[in-house]
Amino acid sequence: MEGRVEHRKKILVAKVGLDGHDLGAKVICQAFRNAGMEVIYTGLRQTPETIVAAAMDEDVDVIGISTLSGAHMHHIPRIMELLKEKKAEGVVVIAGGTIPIAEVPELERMGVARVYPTDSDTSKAVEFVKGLAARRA
Amino acid sequence: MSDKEGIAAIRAKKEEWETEILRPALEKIGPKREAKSLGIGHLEIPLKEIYTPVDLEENGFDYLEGVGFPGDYPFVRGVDPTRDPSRPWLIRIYAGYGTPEQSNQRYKFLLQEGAEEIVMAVDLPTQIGYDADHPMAAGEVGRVGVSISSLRDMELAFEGIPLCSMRRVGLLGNAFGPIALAFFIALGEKQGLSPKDYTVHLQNDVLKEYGTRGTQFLPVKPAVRLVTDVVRYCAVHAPHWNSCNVCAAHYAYAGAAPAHAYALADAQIYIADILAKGMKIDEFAHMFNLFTVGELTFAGVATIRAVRKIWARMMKEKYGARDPRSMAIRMTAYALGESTAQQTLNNIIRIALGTQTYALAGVDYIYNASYDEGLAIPTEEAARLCLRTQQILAQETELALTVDPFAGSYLVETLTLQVEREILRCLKEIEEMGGAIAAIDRGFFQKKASEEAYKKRVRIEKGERIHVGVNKYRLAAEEVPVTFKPDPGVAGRRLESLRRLRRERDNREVARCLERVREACSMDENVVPAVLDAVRAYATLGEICNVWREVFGEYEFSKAYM
Repeated sequence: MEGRVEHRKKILVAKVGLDGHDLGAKVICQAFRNAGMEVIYTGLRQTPETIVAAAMDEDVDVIGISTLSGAHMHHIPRIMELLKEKKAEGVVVIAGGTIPIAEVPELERMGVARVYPTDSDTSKAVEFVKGLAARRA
Repeated sequence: MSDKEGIAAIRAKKEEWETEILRPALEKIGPKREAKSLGIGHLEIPLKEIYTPVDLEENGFDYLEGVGFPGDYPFVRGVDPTRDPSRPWLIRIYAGYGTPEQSNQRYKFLLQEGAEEIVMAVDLPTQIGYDADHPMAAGEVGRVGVSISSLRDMELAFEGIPLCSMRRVGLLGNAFGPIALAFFIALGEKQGLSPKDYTVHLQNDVLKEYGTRGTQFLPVKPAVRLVTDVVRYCAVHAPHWNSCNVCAAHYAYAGAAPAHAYALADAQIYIADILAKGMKIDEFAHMFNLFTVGELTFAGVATIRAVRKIWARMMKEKYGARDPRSMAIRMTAYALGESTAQQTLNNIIRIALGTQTYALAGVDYIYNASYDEGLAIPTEEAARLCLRTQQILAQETELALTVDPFAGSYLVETLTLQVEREILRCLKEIEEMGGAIAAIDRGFFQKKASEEAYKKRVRIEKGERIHVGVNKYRLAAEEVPVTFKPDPGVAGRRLESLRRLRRERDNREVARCLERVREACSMDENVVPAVLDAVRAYATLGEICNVWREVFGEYEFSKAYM
C-alpha cells in the first residue's frame, strides 16, 4: 500500500485460567496505553477459546498473556493451536509472569514471540510491540 | 521543671542544634541529598532527620491513655502481658502441592523440622470451588497448592498426623469457608477427636478476594453470609478456633494504602452481619484475627502497634464490647520481603528482615515465604530454610526477650500516632462511601491498587526506588536456580481418585445431603450443619459449591475493573 499510514497498535491483554493475580496485567495495560496503544483487558478467568475469539472480534495485533499460576504450558499451546485453526497466525503472541526461563525455548518453538518473566521492565514489551511491522495499513 | 518547660527547653536546644550542627553537615552532602520518606505500603510519610520528645508532644503522645501496658487496653504493646521466650510466637508454614499423598510427605517433613502449624496451600481449582475433574481445573490441578476435592483427600493429606499433634492447623478457605470448616471437623471425627482437642485457623475472609486476590465465585452478599455462618457456628461449637482472619496483607501487596483501613472496613461488614443475626459482640469477636503487614522495621512495628489500638477502640467504642478478649486482636503475618525473581538468594535476606520486624512488633503467628516462592513451589531445602529463619530469630537472638522493645522510641511512637491517623482517615472515607461492599462495587480498591502498582513499577524502572538485583547490581547473565519440578502425573491420578470416590460412596446419601444444603441456603439458616453432613457423606467440594452457584448465582467478572 502506498504511503505511511500511522497505525495505532491494538493489544488484547489476557488472563487465562483460574489465576487471580492481575496486577502485572494491569500494569502492562497502563504501560501500553501510555505508549499510545489501544488496549483491551479481558479480566480474569478467561479460557483459550474466549481469548482467541476476543482477539478476532477486536482484530488485535497482539495478544499479551499474563500467567502466574504455573498453568501456562497447558493454556498457551491451546491458544497457539486455536489461532492456527482460525487462520489468525498473524496475531503476535507475547507472554509474561511466572514462567521459568527453562520453558522459554519451548514456548518460542510454539510461536510465542517474546516471554517476559516476573520483574521484566515494561519498556521491553512496549518497545517490542512498537517495533512490530503494521499488520494492516 | 514541669513537662511543658522541659519540652520547651528541648525544642529550643533542638533549634540551636539544627542551625549550628545539622545545617553545615547537610550543606556538605549538598543538593544531591534526597528527601527521606518511609513508604508504608504506598503511603509515603516524610521523615525528619531526628525524632525527639518534641515530636511526641506535637503528636499528642499520652503513655497511659494511648499506649499503656501489654495485655491491657488499648493493647498497643501486645495482647499478652509477656511471652514465653522459648516460643515467643507460633511458627507456621504455608505448604502443599500436587496430590494429598505428596503433600502428606511434605507436611511430615516440615513438622519434623519444627513447624508448629501447617497452613494448607490448596490449588486454584479448590480455592474457587471446582473439583479436580472440572474442565476449568485443567492445567491447574496441584499447581499452586494441593488438590483437595473431598474429605477423603483431607484424610490422605493428614494420614499419620493427628490434628491435635500440631499447635494449630489452617487453611485459607476464603470463598468456601463452610466447606473448609467442615473438612476439619469431619477429619477430626475420623481421627477420634472432638473440636476442643485441636485448634483450627481459617482465613475465611472473602471480601478481599473481590478487591485483590481473585478467588471469588459467588456474588458478594451470599459470599459474606457464608463467612459469617462459619463464625457463628464456631462461636457455639469451637469458640477457641480462629474462624476469621481479616486480611490487610493482600491489600498492601496490591498497592492499596493504608491496607489496614481496607481490612478493618471488611471486618465491619462481617461484624454487622453477625450482630444483625442476633449474636452479641462478646460472643464472637475474640475469634477474629488480623492478617497484618508492614515489613520495614520502624514503619512495620509502628503500623502493627497502631492497628492493635484501633481495633481495641473500635470494639469498645463502636461495638460496645466489654470482654477484653474482644478488644485484643491477635495478628498473623507472612514475611515475604519484596522478593524478586532475579538473584533469588537475595530473598533470604529480605524475608529474614521481614520476619524480624514481625517478631519485634509482637505478632502472634508468623510464617514466611521461601526464597524461591516467586518461581515455583518451594523445594524441600527452601521450605526448611523458612523454618530455620524463624527458629534462629526466636531462639538465638534477644528479639523476643522483652515485650514491645520499641515502645518509647521517639521515632516509633511518632510513627504509631501518624499511621493511626492515616488508617482512621481512610476507614472513615470508606465508611462514608457506604462501607466495604459499596467500595468493591465501585471498584475503589481495584482502581487504587492498579494505579499505585503502575506508579511503583515506573519508580523502579526509573531507578528512583532501588530494588537490588532488579534495577541495580544486576547480573549480566541471570543464574537459573534449581526449582521444584511439578509432577506431570498429578492430574491423571487426581481424576482417577475422584472417579473411585464417586463409585464407592453412597450416592443416594450424597444427593440427599446436597438437597439439604440447597434448603439451608434458600431458607437463610446457617449452612454449616448441612455442609458438614454433606462433607461427612463424601460429597465433593465442587458438588457443594455448585449448589451454592445454583442458589446464589455466580459472580460476574465483566463487572471487574477495566
